[in-house]
Amino acid sequence: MAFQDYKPWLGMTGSRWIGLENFERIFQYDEATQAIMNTLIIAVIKIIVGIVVPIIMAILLNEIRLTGLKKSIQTLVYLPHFLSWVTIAGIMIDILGLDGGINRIITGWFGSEPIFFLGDPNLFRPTVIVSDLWKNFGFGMIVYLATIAGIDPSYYEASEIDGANRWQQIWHVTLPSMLPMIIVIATLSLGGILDAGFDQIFNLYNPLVYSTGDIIDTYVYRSSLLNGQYGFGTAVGLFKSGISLILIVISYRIAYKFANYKIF
Amino acid sequence: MLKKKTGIWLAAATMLTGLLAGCGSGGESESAAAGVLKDGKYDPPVTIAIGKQLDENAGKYKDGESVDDNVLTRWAAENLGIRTQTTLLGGDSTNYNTKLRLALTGSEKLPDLFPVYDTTLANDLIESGRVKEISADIQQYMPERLKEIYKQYPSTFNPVVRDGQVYGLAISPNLTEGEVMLIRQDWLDKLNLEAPTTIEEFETVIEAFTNQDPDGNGKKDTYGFTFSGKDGYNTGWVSDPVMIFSAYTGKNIPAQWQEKDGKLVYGSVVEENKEALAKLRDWYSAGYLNKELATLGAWDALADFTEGKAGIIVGRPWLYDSVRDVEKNVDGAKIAAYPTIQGVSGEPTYQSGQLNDGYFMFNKDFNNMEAFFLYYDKLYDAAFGTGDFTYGYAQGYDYDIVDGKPVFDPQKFNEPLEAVQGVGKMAFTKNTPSADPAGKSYYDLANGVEPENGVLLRSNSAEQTSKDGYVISYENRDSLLPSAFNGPPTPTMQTSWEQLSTMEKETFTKIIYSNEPLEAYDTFVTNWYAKGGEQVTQEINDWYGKTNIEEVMGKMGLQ
Amino acid sequence: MYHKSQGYRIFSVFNHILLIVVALSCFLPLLHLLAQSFSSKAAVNGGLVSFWPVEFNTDAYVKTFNNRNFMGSMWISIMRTVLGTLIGMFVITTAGYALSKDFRGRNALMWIFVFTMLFSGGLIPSYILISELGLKDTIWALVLPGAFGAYNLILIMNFFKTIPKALEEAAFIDGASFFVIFTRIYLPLSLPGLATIGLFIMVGHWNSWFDGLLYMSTTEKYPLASFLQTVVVQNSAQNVALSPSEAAALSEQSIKAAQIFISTVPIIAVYPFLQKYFVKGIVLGAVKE
Repeated sequence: MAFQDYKPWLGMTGSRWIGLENFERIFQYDEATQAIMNTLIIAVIKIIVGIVVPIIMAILLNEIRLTGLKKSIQTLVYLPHFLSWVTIAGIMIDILGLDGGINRIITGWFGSEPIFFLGDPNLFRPTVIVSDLWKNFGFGMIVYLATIAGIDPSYYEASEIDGANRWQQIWHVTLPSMLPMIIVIATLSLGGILDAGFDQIFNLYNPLVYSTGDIIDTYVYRSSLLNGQYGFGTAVGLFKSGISLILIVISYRIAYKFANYKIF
Repeated sequence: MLKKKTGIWLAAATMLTGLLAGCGSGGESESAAAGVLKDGKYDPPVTIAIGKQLDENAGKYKDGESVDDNVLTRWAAENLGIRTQTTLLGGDSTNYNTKLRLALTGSEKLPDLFPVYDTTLANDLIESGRVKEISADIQQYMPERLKEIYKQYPSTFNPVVRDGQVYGLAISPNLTEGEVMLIRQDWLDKLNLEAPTTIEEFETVIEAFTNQDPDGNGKKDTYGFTFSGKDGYNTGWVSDPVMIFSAYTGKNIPAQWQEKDGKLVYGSVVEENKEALAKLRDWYSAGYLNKELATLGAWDALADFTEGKAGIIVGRPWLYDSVRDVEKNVDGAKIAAYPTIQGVSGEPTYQSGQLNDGYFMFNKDFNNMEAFFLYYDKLYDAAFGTGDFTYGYAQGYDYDIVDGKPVFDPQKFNEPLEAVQGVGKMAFTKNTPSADPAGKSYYDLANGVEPENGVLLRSNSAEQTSKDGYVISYENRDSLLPSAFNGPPTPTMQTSWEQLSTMEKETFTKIIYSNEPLEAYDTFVTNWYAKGGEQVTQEINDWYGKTNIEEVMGKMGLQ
Repeated sequence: MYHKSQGYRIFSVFNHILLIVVALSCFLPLLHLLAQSFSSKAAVNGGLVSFWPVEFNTDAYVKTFNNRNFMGSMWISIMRTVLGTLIGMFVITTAGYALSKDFRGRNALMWIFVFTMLFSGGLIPSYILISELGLKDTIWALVLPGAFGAYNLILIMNFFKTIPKALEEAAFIDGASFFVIFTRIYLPLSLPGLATIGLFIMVGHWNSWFDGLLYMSTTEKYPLASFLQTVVVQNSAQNVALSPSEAAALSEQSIKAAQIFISTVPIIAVYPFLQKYFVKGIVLGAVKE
C-alpha cells in the first residue's frame, strides 16, 4: 500500500503501483520533513529529561527519612501516570487557557500579559515536554527508588568510614549502583525515538502550533484521514516503523553488551 | 475444584458475549424499501439512514430532544411517514469529513443520504462507485418549484457530473450574500471623515483610526483594519482582506480561478498581487492592521473589532450581529455598513461568491428518492411561505407567537431561549433552504414591500444596520464571483495542491510581516508554476474547455 | 555522621519542601477539577474556584448521571475493560507460558511478536482490516486489536522464567499435564505479576480513546474516554448536553470537570492495588535474576 497510489475502493489489486514515489514525497514536502524534525526534537528531549529527572528525584526522595512522608510522596507522584491524556488534556486546556488558573496567577501577581501556552509555537514544545514529564516521572522514579533500596548498605558504611560525605556517597556509591538500570532504561527508550506521543499531542495541538508541534503520527493521521492520501500516509508510517525497528535492534545489542541484559 | 472455576469463567464469558451482541451493529438500518405513498404520507413509515454534520451554531436541543428525535423529526414521522436515523454523525466539519472518509475507506455501508462538504471527498466517493446516479430521479421526482431553483444554477452540478452521469445534488443552491464594510461610524464622525471609497481614502481612514486616537482615551490603542490571514487571504465570509487584493487584481482574486485573456488563471499568482502585498506590508509596518492577523482565524479576528480596538472589518451583512457587542461595551459606539471600496482602475472590487455549501449524495442502494424529494420540498415551505412552515419550522424553536404576533427574537419567546434552534439542528441538512437570492427580502422591504410572509417578517425583525448591509450587498451582487473552476480536483491537485497553498500562505504572510522582501513574491510565482502549478493550470483549462453541462441539465429536466 | 552537618540540614529542608511541592503538583490539578465540579457557575466562570468548592452544589453530577450518552459510554467502557482484560490475560498468559520454555524457533517467534510491537501496519491498513472483518461499530473492534500486547507478554514471560524448573519437573513425574502445571503452579506463583499486568491492561482499556473515535461511527457507541475526548478536546457542546435554561445556572466547565472526574474514579479506585503490586511487578519483570 505504501508503494501504491492507494484507493480503498480499488483495493490492493486495483490500485496503481507507483514504486517509491510516496517515499520520495516524504522528503519533498516541507510539512513532512518538518514533522519528522519535530518528532525527533520532542522525542529526544523527552527521553533525556525523562531519564535524568526521575534519577534526581529518586535520589532526593531517598534522602527523606520520615517513612510516612516518603510513602505519601511516592503515592502521589505516580498517580498522573495512570490518567489518560484525554483527562490531562482536559485539565491542561482549562488551567493553561488564556483565562485559566496559571494565567490568572501570571497576570495577577506579575501584571504581565497572559501567556498562550498551547497556541504559541515557541511555547508548545516546552509545554508538551513538561506535561509529559509531569505525567511520567513518578513512574520512572519508582523503578530507580527500588534500585537504590536494593543497594547493599555495607557499601555506604564502608564509604562513611573512608570519610565520604553525603555528596561523595551519592556520586561514588549510589549512582554507580544505579548505572546498569539506567543503561537498560535508556537503551529501551531508544526504540521510541520517533514516538513523540500521539495521544498527548493530538489532544493538545492546533493549527497554530503545527510548525513546532506537528509530529509524524499526527501528520500521518491528517494526511491519510483528512486528505485521503492513503498511500502517502502509510509510507510515512512505514518509514517511521522502519527506523524504530533499526533502533530497537541496536538498543537490544547495546543493552546486551554493556549491561549484560537480554530484553527477551 | 479446578473444573468448577473454569466453568464459572466460561459462563461469565458467554454471558458477556451475549450482552455485547446487543450493543453490536444495531445502528445500520435497512434502507427504505417498503412503504407506500398515500395522500402525501408513507404508510407504513419509511426510514432513511442519514449522515449528518451537527450545526453547532443553530442553538441547542431542548431537554430530551436529539438529532433523531426532535420537533421536526416527529413532524415528519407524523405528517410524511418518514423517519430519519443518523448512522454517521460528526461534530464539526473536520470530524464529519473524517467519519465519512473512514466509511468510504472501509467496507461498511454508507448512509442512504448524506451531505458532502469537501470536493476531494466528493470526488473519491464518486470514483468508488458507491454513490447513486440520480439524473433520472431528479427528472422524475423533483418537484417543479425546486426544479425552477436548480435551473438557475447549472454550474453547481459541475463537481458531481462524470461522463454525463449525475452523482449528487447541490444543497439548497442560492447566491449567498456579498460582503460589506462595517465601520465605526462614531470614529468617522469624531475625526470628520467620510467612509472610504478608494484605496487612497481607505489608507487615510485607517491611518487616522490608528494615529488620531478615535476613541479619545489618550492612548494609542486603536488601529484601522482587522482581517484574518491564517487560512489564506480570501476568507469569503468574515474578516476578509480580499477587497484590498481585488483593488489591484480586479476579478483575479486570490485563491480563485477566473478567466483572464480567455484562459483560466489562479488569482494568487497574477502580477498585481505584488502591489497589494506592498500596500499591506506598509500598512502592517505602520500599525494600521491587526498585529496577529496571520495567526487568527476568521472568527477570531473579529474580537478586536468587538472590543473597540479596530475600526474597520469586512464580512457578510450578518457579521453585524456578531460584532454589535461593541455598541454595548463602548459608550457611543455606532457601527454602519458601507459598500466595499473601488479598485485602482475604478472598477468595483470583487469577492468570492458561493452558490452552495456541499452536496447531497445517496447510497447506491437507496431506492426511495421520492421520499427524499417529498421531505426536501417540505423544508422549502418556509422559504416559499407555504404549508405548515409559515413563519419558521417550529413554534417555540425558531419563532414564537407572542400576543398574536410572530416574534423572531429568542429572548422574547414565551419561553425565552438563549438562541433560536434552527432547522440545521433538526433536519437532515444543516443548511437552511431559501428560494430568492440572499438579501432580496431586505431589498424589497427597503423598497416599500409590506412584510407579509414569514421570510419578509423575519428579515423585517433584523437590526437596522444588518438590514442596511443586506440591501447594500444585494445591490452589489454583481461583484460576487463564483469560482470559474468547480470541477473535481485534478490529478496534480490531489498530490500537490496542499503544498502549493501552504507555500502561498507563507509567502503572503512573510511579505506582509516584512520577514521577506517584496521580491519573494516573484520567486513564489516561479516556484508555484514549477512545483505543479503549471500542470494544474493546464489540467484546469482542459476541464474548462470540456465542461458541457447543458446536455446533462436537459437529461434531468432542468432546462 | 553526615546528616548532622550544617550543610546537609539546609539541604534537607529544601529537599523536603521541593518534594512536597512536586508531590502536591501531581495532585492539585485533580483537586482543582473536583472543586470546580462542585461549584456554582458564577464562581467557576469568575475564576474564584481554586481547590475548594465555592457555593457548593451537586447539580453537575445530577446532570451527568442523567445524561444518557454519558452513561451509555460508561457502560461501553466497563464492558470493554472487563472483556478486554479477560481476553488479554488469557492470551498473554498462555502465550507467555509457552514462550518461557526453550524450543526450536522460539527466538524467531519472539522476534515476530516484537516486530508487531514496533511495526504496526499503520492507521489505514488497521482500519481496513477491522472494517473488512466486520468488527466496525462493535465492541470487538475495541477489545481484540489490543488483546495481544507484546510488551506485556515479555513481562509475563520473564515472570514465568523466575519459577524454578524443579517444580515443573516434579509435577511431570506426578503425571500432571502442561495445562495442570500452567494453571496450578505457574499462575498461582506469579500472582503479583499477573495482578500488575492485569491492572495495566485494565487501565489501558479504560483510558483508550482513539480506537473508539476511529471505529465507531456515531457518538452513542463511543467508550467513555472517546466521549470525553469530544467534550473536552473537540469542545463539542452537544455532549455536554445542557439545555438553554440549565446553561443559565450551570457552567459548562463544571459539567466537564464532573465528567472528567467521574471517569477517573475507577482509576483512583484500583490505584491502591496498582501500587501494592506494580513496583514488584515492574522491577521483577525488568530485572531478571
